[in-house]
Amino acid sequence: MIEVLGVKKRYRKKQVIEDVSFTANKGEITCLIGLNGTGKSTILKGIMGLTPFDRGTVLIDGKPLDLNRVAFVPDHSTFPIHFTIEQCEAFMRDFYPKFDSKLFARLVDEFKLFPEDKLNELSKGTLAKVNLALGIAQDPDYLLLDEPFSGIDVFSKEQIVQLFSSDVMENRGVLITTHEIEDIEYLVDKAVMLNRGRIVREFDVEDVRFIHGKSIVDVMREEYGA
Amino acid sequence: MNVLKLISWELDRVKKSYLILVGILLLLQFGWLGAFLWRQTATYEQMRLEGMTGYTVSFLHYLGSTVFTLSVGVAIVAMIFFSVWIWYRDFQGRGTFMMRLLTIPTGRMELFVAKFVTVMMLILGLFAIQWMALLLQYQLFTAWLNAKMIPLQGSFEMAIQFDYLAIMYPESGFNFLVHQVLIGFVVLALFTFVLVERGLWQRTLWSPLLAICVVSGLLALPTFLIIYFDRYLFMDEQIGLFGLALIGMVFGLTLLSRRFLSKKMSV
Repeated sequence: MIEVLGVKKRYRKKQVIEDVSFTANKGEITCLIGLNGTGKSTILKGIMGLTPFDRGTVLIDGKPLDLNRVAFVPDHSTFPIHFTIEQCEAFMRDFYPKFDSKLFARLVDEFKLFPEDKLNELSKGTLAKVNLALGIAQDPDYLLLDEPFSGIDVFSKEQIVQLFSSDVMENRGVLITTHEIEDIEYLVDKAVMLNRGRIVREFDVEDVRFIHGKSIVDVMREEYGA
Repeated sequence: MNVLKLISWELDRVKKSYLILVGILLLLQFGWLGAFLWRQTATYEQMRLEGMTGYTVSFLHYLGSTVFTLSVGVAIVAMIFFSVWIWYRDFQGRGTFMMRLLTIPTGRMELFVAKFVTVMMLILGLFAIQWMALLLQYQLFTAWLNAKMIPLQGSFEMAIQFDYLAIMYPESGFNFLVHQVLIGFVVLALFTFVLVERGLWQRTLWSPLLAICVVSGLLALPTFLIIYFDRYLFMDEQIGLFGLALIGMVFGLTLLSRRFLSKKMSV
């Protein structure tokens, strides 16, 4: 379980995260929801230690962060743009001890990627698939996904959504931020709603759907008054 | 193990620009050597025709020339630039590569050590190339002058004691070690500056200035101690104090770098 306990973050004079606590379970998909600038990406980066929190603790199954067990997939590539997909894989193989080349090859095949393609020649959707494949192939227990559907076409989106319900995601905990919540709504187990750096609601998506007959978007409308 | 892989990775990344630098350095020096010898020969011939005698050329004249000094200056500036750039380039653009580096399951200080060793290897490599190039230049120099029967003054050993070249051609192994420690210290200070600046940039617009102040402040106290106590101490004690101050500064810089890299760095 990922436990985020009382975290705070300030950029210059702006308090971006204000005393946020939540958990994300293994084998479940937890979605961080919020309008732009509510601190969703900052929380993911904070969990990875990329933007350290000013206060608070992050525990992975009760222990401090272990980068062998958690993978982060940002909404952009973190490799130099002149790299080919092959070079990215070589880098991952060299530096990530758990990197599974067979799994990566399978995902490359499923996503119909060409390993010799350079990153700067790829569309945003293809790049998102490359990022996701690299993240999953790290064979992490927990996968943090930052806006994996941002600016990508409907077919790429479908492929990624299908992947969430496939065997490669089995037993992995997923913490995801997205604006395209309706695309993955039926896959999400738990939602954490943020507003101005605070958690305003945390709920089990199935409960809301079956007991109250509401979708996540309905709850968002209620909360954000849109 | 990861450190070795990271060093190899960093060396691979810098290979092209390093080879360009070496190429420019050698082209500049050998090109200038040719022009220098051409001019000296012309002057010698002119004097000979005018019946003047006593004209001699020394390798020191070549080493002291503006173009040669400039070529060494270019190499030094390039190495200083690279010591900073080896960090900064990983922060460039939105998809910063630093984000990838920081998520490698390895200690962050391993990244630091890998980058440090890479810079030191590049500097030592440049020294080695300059050593060989200078020896070759001396061979060409003497061969040309002998062929033209122009009297040569001094020796190679005398020439390499010239000014800043003494750093590259130290008198002993110990001196060499001391020079490398001092070079390593400068690289460490530059690294610390970058990490402090990168750790502060999201907090204040004045982060570069603040980073300079932090690093200078850390170096200022031991420096003042050395200056103040210098006059009261014997030579051996002065060396001891300098050594202690240097160890203190290296320790301080490393701790500060470690803190910023592990706790303050934001990408």
